[in-house]
Amino acid sequence: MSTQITLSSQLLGPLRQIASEKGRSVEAIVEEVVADYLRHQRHALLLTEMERFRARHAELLAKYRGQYIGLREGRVLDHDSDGGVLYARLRRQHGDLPILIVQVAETPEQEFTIRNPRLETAV
Amino acid sequence: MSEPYSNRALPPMPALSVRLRSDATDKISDPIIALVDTGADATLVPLQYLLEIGSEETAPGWLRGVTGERLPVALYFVDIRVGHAAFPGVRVIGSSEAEDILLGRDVLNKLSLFLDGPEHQTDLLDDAAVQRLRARR
Repeated sequence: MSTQITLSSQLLGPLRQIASEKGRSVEAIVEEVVADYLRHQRHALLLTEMERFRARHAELLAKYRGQYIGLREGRVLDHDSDGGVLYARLRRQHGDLPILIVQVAETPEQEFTIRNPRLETAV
Repeated sequence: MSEPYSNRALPPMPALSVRLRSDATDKISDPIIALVDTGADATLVPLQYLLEIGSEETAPGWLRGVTGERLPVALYFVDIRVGHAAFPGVRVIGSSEAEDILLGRDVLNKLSLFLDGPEHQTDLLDDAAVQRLRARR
């Protein structure tokens, strides 16, 4: 599926110049920018949902301890002991809709440890 | 399945060839060399690989390193294929900083591996070899 978009000459001029300098097409750069924008929007929505999860954590822990839940606008849409199964089910039911999927553990933060000194520059 | 150790770490590190698949797009990656890292709670994937298959973030998370410092990360669900073994819906850590996939204990604890250190070779054992080794205990 594709659609046409109209850009102002103010944007199109410099965009064509950058595309030429980088040896890329204008379409490829626009697609990359839009994908990046969508990713950041999704991340921002998930951060907001995470705040809701933190606020309700004690209550959710009592009900869903150890399980994965799918949270949207503070409401639990679904839950499962297997996060992957829950993700697949939520995708079938809600498509691309940003839904926070978290494991309900003792603390709300989804934290992992990697004991690899090669990663220390990143962490 | 047998894979040489990776020389991207010194001394060389056990490695396996993996393929990633996104449920969101049904796209499958080309084979990618992943480092075997028993010190990792979970599998870590460079963000670039996740974006290439169209995977989508499902939660923000934190990654803690050996010094205890925390880095904000994004979490994704992907299918991971290692040789004949397939693991659907594995929650992985997406990292824009990492260069290599680190196969963590979430996946490693489901595999029977032979780390042939002197030969710098990682083997994924077949069922017959696993049964033979278990019978020797």
